[in-house]
Amino acid sequence: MAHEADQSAALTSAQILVIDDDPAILETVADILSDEGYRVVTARNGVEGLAAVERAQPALVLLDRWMPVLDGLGFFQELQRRALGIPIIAMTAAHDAEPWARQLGAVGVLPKPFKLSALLGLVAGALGGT
Amino acid sequence: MRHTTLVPSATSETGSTSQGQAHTASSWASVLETASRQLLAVSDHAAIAGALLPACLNILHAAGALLAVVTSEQPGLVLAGAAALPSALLLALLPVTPLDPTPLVDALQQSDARWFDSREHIVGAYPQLATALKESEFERWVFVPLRVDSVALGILAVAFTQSHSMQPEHPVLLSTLNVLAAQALARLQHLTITRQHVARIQTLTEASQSFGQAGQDLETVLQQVTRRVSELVGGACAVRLLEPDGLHLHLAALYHPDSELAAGAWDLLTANPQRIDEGLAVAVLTRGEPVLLTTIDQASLRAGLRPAFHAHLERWPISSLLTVPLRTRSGTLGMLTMTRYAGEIPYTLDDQLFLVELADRAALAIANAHLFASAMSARTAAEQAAAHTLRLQGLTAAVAEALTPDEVLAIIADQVKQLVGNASGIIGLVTDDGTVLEMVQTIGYTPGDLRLWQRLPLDTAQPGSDVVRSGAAQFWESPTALVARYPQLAQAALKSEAWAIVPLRVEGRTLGILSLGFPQPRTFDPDEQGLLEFLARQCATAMQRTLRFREVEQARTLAEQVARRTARLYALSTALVSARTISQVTEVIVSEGMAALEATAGTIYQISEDARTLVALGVVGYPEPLVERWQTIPLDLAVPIAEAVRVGEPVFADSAASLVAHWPLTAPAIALLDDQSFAFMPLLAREKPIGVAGFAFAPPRNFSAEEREFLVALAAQCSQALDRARLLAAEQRAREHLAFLSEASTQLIASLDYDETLRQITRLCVPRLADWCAVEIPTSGGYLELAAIAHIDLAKEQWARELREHHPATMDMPVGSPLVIRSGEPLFYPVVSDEMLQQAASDPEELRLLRLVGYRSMIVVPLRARERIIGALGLISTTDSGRRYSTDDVALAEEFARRCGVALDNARLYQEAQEAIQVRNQFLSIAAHELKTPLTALSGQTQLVQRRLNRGEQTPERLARSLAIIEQQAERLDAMVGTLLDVGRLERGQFVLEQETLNLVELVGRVVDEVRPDLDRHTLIYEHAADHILMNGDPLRLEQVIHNLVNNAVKYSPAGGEVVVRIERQAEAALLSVSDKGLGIPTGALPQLFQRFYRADNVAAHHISGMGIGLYVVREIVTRHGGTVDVTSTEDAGSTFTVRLPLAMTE
Repeated sequence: MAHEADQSAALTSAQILVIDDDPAILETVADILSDEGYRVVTARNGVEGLAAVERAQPALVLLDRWMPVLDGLGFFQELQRRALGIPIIAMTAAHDAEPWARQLGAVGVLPKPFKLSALLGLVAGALGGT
Repeated sequence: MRHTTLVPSATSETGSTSQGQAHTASSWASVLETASRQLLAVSDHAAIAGALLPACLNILHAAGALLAVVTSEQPGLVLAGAAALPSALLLALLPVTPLDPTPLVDALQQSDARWFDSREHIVGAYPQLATALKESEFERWVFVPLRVDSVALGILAVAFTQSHSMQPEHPVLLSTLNVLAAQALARLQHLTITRQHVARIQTLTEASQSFGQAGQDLETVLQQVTRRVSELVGGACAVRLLEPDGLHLHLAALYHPDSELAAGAWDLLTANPQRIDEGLAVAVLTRGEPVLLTTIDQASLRAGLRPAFHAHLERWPISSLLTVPLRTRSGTLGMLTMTRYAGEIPYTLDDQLFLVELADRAALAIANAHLFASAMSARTAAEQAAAHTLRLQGLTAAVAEALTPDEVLAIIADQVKQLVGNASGIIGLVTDDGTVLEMVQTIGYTPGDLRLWQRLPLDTAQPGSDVVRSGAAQFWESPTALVARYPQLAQAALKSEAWAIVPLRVEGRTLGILSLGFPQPRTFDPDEQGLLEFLARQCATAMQRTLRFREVEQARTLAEQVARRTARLYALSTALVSARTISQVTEVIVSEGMAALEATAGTIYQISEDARTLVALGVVGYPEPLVERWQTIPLDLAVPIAEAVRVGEPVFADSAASLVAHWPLTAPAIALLDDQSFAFMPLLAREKPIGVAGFAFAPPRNFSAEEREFLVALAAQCSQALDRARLLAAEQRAREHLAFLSEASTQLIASLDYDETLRQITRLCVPRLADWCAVEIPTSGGYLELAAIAHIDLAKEQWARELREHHPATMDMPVGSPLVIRSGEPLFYPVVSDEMLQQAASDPEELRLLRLVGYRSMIVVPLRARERIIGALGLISTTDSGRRYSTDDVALAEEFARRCGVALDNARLYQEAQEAIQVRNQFLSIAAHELKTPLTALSGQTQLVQRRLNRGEQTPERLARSLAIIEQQAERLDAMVGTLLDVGRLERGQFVLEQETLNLVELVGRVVDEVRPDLDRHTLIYEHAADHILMNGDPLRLEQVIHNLVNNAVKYSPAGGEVVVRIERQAEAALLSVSDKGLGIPTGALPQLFQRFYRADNVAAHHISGMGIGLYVVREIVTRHGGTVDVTSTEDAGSTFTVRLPLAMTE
């Protein structure tokens, strides 16, 4: 089940997909991005994330690592198979965030918990690069 | 005296001329003178009669007259002449035989004339004259003996008629005529004697010549002498010669014309030898005088002779005897005796003189012949003696060369054959103990003949034993003679007809006998006896010598043997000194020992550690099947090699037969051997048996005391060496064991990996401790897992694994590792027997495979870790190495196993520690992650609120939402921290329950109501049969339990679905269950499910968050309430957690 971000923001800026199994984090990240004007699509696991990609065609994915049903890696592999070229920002509380991010070819790593500036810097960087 | 007219019967000129002068003295004188003149001239008896008788008729007027004379030519009286007497009357007067009683003969005995005055008178005395006188005119008779020096030379008989008148001068005339006639007769006799002497000298000369011509043969000479003397002297002639002993006379020759008489006399006289100190021999031989018995009175002769002679004398009555010595200058040879018989004239002095002369000549001839004979016999004797000596020298030389008693016996046997021909013989020797005569050599007997005599006890009455006891030879001429002395032999099957049994005597000792049997009865003359005795002496001497030689030889051999053996013993000792290992010692003992003993085969065993088995160290010289069979011998087996160990004394068997007789079990083995003698010597070290050495000898041995001593000495050397080698080996083994253990310890701690340690254990053992090593670990299914294996042959290692796979070992097996693991005691099989394999195998195929392994010896020891048996270590020796384990090895294996146990335990602990660390790290990682998740939301919301405030974008709705999230996340954090703190309290024992009576149904309902609103995909169903279930408990903790269980049910069923919470009351407990239809729990994870930090594999894979402490806390809380928590689950189908809590006492 996706939590639709502010529809108005979505109209003016790029669409970002946030995937995390924790609802509080999902909501918090979505609120932060929405406040900046991004259109945000959320998903609680890899499977939902893939559905959201199909539906929303996001310009950027913020991806959590450990999730039920389909984890971050599984999602990445599926996404790669579809060759959509959507950049990913790895987002995890795990201590080994860096290697995992490299494995995903992520454009940025966001260790949890994070600073707002760091999140927004990474997102702006990722989208600006495109 | 009456005068009668004499009518001359024969007229002669002289008579007629003198008739006219008859009656005158001058005419008497004239007649007498004529007669005496005539009588002086006469040269024969007839002439005397011719001169005398006419004178008688003329002077005495006699009617008739006759003259009868005694002559040397004839016995009795011979009629010299008669005058005027009818022939019938002459015949009647003359004796038919010399001794017939006639007046003539009777008158010869008288000294004076005998007158018969009437016819009746004379007929009355001599009736035979009656007829002749009846027809004659003769009435009176006178018979006048004619004597000179009282020797009657003749009888003058004068007859007168009735008419004759005796004139006074007649007696004187008669006397004169008598004297004249007697003198004439005497003169004539002298003349005759002179003539006879001449003739006798001639005769003697002839006789001497004839004696001489008889040659030099004594027998011929004697024949000639007796014959010739008999012819010359008349009568039987016997020559008796002195025996060499000088005491006896033997009849050498006898002659008489009547051969029957001669033969009778010969037999008689040879059968009755005469001694020189009896009878006539006394005078003849001792005094050298002749004896003449002119007339012999038969009665006194009979009385003087032994009755044996009587019959002979009956037939041939000896009437006269003349015996003279046979003398030579050198001495008396014997005597020559002449005998005449009834009816023959007696011997005269004349005969005596003649015989003396003859005897002297005969003696000479006899002496010559004797000398010649002596010379001849001496020569013969010398030749015989030479031949004899030569032969005996040959014998002596032969026996002198004989070195052994057997050779002597063979030579004696050969000599006996040469000397006595086809005799059969036995040589018997007295045994050393002097009780038995043992037949050692035979000639011409079959073994069957001798069966009874092979061993003759000396205390029996048998010829052989008697000869031994008495030392005197026996000669038996016939079976009769033998049986007469030994009646018991009458029943015996005697092979011979005559026997000579001679003792083998030397130095007063009888060594044995030489017994000869002859096929025919026979006598044994002194020479032969002497020869046999000589032979026996030679034999005895040689035997004695060879026996001594043998003794000396034996002594020398013994000395050499001792020297040789000493040398060999020395060589053995030297070799043993440099032999350090048991195998070297074994090698030396079986090689050098066998050489020293000249044994053909040898074995050496040592006693197994359990002292129940002899274990072969070396078996040499026996056939392969025996070598195989004799690798081990139970010590309680009834065989000599085991007996030697049991009694600690050597066992000797001189022969295979005696060995089998004593030890029947050895029969099959002995049947395969050529060996005859056996010796088994225990090997003793410090007075305890450590082994045994056995030696076999193909040539039979008689184990003498020396030999036994040598064997024992050799065994002692071997024992010492073996003991030393054993000690050295033990020391070396101990050192090796230490080294091994040291290295093993190093190796075992090299790795802290459990499986690697297992592999290391088996690798360490092979090949140093075993050909095959396996570690077996029990598994939960009651099976034994082959945790590690090493085999000297890699192919077999794989094969062993497969064997185990196909024939899994179960823990209930009564053998091997299962037994060890169950009992905790090591198992030691010094020898793995086929029976043991049969017992261990579960089926024939497995048995076949087990047999292929070639098990030989085995040790299984338990592997312990902190007093817990975790498995078993098996060390197996196979035929690859042939190694046999000892108790030392068991001790080593146990020590090694102990270290292995420690190593494995360390590895396990390490592994567990590693796992614990990993769990902790994982937990920390998870905990951090779990803590960071609410913190991320908390932090994010806080920054968002701040940013919105700064931007002025904050709205009350937004703020409320943010604060709700912040609070929610703070609570999450608090719960997490609380849980972590609970873990800490639980671990520190500071977890305290605050109990009160509570209604569980209500409490559960409260939690369900709390949780339900947060659920979007799950349906939470609460089922409770009662409204009140009271119990004593801490309500917060129990809520925590229910929260955990329900949250888990939700969390682990990510796809959603029903979560059913059910509560019911049972007899004494409340039963609370929480079921979901989620992921479920893998079976392998169930046991650890309630452990701290544990998370099942599948939840990690599903990336379901959690720290692995919830269920741990649940269990701790429930347990502290006196309850239990269980789980049943099927993976991918869901789980049910059931909590059983005790009811309050009031319920």
